[in-house]
Amino acid sequence: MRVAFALLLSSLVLPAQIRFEDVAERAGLKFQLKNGATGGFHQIELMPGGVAAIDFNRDGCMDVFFTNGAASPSLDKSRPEFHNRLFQNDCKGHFVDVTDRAGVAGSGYSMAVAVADYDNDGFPDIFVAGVDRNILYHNQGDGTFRDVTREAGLEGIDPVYGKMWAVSAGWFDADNDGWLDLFVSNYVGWDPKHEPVCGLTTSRFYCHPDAYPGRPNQLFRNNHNGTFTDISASSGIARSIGKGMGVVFGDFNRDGRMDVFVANDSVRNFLFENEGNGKFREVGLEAGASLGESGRPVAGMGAEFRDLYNNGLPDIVVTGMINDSYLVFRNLGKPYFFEDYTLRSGLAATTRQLTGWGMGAFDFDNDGWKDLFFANSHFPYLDKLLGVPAPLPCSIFRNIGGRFQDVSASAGDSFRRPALYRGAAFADFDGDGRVDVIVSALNEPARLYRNVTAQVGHWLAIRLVGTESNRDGIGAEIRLTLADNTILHNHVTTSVGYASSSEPLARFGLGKQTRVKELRVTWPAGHEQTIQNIAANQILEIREAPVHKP
Amino acid sequence: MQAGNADAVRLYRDGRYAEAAAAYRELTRSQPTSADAWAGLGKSLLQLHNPEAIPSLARAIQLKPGDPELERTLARSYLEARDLGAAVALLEPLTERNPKDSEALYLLGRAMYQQGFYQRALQLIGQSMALGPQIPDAETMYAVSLAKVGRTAEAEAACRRILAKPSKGWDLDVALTFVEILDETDRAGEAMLYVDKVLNERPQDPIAHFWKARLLLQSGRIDDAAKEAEQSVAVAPGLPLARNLLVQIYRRQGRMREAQREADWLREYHDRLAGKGR
Repeated sequence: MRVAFALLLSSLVLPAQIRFEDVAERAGLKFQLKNGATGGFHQIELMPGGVAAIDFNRDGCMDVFFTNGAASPSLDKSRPEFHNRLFQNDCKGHFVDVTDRAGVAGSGYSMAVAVADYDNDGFPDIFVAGVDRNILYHNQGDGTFRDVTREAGLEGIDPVYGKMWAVSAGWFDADNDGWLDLFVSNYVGWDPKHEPVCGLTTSRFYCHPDAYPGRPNQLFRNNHNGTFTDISASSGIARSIGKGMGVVFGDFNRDGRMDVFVANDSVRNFLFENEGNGKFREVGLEAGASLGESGRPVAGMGAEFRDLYNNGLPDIVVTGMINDSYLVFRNLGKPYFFEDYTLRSGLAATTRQLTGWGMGAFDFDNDGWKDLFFANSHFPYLDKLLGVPAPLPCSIFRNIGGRFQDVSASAGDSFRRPALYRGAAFADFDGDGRVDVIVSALNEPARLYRNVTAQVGHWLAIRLVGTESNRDGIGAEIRLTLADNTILHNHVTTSVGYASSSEPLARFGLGKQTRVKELRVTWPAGHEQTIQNIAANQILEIREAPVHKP
Repeated sequence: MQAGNADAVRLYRDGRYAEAAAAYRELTRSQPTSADAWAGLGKSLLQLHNPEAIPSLARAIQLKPGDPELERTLARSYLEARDLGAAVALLEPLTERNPKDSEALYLLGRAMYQQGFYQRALQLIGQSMALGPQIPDAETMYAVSLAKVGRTAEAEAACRRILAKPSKGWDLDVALTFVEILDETDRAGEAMLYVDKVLNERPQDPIAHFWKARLLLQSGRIDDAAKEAEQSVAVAPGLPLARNLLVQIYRRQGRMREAQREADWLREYHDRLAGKGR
């Protein structure tokens, strides 16, 4: 297998050093994620917050939405420093805060953001997940949003547990009916009146998740009329109690239905196999994606569900806490499915002393192999025990034919600045064909890491417009055949990493290849569409061709 | 009374800890304000791995506050009882008061090690080792901590040094850390040799069987891997690690029913820890 990788690699690889430059301040992207901590050590203060790349005004330039905390533990968001923020990209490298005009400052303690066009009107909508309060904003197409949470039936009150603390959420078409459904990843039961006290007599710190009871996740089916039905129980999703963090989607068993992976904090991860007919079965243990090879759960946080090995099978990566190592589950296909490939991926030793939150698998040097970006930070107040400060720099691992090499040290000075990083969203914000990253940091300015890698390869980005399938084409699989018969795979999803949402495009690095011989889209509705002879270095919009039904 | 004290001291020195504990207990009854009597009782009970050592030593410290030796012994008792927070709370001020207290540094390092804070453990144990005298466990924990924090080359050298020493038997933590290092650095063949050596010494060790199964699976020897993982489960049926491996192995062998059985076991095991759904 390694020989095959090496051969394939030789046709694609370019000697590029992945580099980033933090341009947030210069670009006017001034945002600080505030957790409202005042020494009460409330668990919610650890977890915010997500970031989204969203082209809310459809001008072709990706804008940015940040979730934000609130006063703790009151969850009062009234002070402007706690408002969620929307920044509009002027397409010239500058961002303007349009939060108030757009009406998205929010209420309550926000955690995560999930962006997609749930009503197929062409404008991306925003779902904000949070503590005891989720919000669905409908994009009205005029630069403003309307809070439609209640009428949509997405307040998320569980019939057994009541209000929930949601940490992540994601949109996917669970039943391939052309309308996006919503998965909400819930963390633990939390009541500020009964906050456990943890730490030493000399120093208090935040409790381990063991001190809190787990909660089920939720699945809401889109009723095609702006409302949703809670099918958490009937679908089987609510049967599994975890401590949900990142949620990502991929079709691991290639049956045409999107499956769901949930990274759980300190309990086994969940892989919900989509059985069709609105039913899911948790098969993480059977499929080998619940636990690392050591058989113990990790403090799973961010996740990615994407094909890292260009074999058409989506793999899974999970960030964890110090001593865990970030896990790579390589998908071997039926009937084996996943194997813990961490050790052989090169991530075992290199990530063992890291704690990771946001992450993403994108081809930052456009060499044809998806690299890994991690937003890191240890838990605050543990410095004395860890022997190292809690703030950490982000990491970048270059994919060299399936083995990952830590190239963070040479990724640029501004990239190496430590902070308490959290969510990360991925998009080409400056339209230069290189994937940039926006990262939130607890009680520090957010970073906009502009990808300044020199000598990158050629690229192609695909924007899908579904007609029978959901309009964003979320869940569609795209297979490219290059001139030298190299085959590349990706699928469309906005759910990436931790609590965050990335651009709804499928991106490909093409290496030295300037043309794509064939592009095949497998739409969520089930049919295929093929396009031939495509020039590199463009965003190609593909409209779903009508299906001729007999 | 003095005679009784001398008897207790002698019994302790002779390693007759149960009798020493009885003698000291008698002394605490007749001399309830004697710090030495409570300290002697606590130390004897500690040698017997009896958690009652903790209240005895705590009483001794109450009667003789600020005695570093007593505080170290109480910390040792907390470590034995895995009350790591209490141990740290006692040892931190002790090491702050005297940064050259080698034993306190070692004990604090051990507390960090047991909680998985390897970077801090490395710092503390390193300081203790530099000050001396050498504590046998310290070298082991130092080597393992080096591996855990990713200082692989130093860890490998430290492990080799320890394993090369003539001793009655190998330190399992070091040996298996060494195996992990070899495996991580693409030397699975050498790793297998060391696992076999461990198994020669400890044929019933479930972790060593698990490691052998893991290496065999990586090298594609699925049937042999199954046997080793099954052996690990047979030796320690309550341990989840080999069962997780068995799910993968059985799937590859097409033994789906057995894979499901192991997955069900793991699901029940983990759900017991996390709580059930609806």
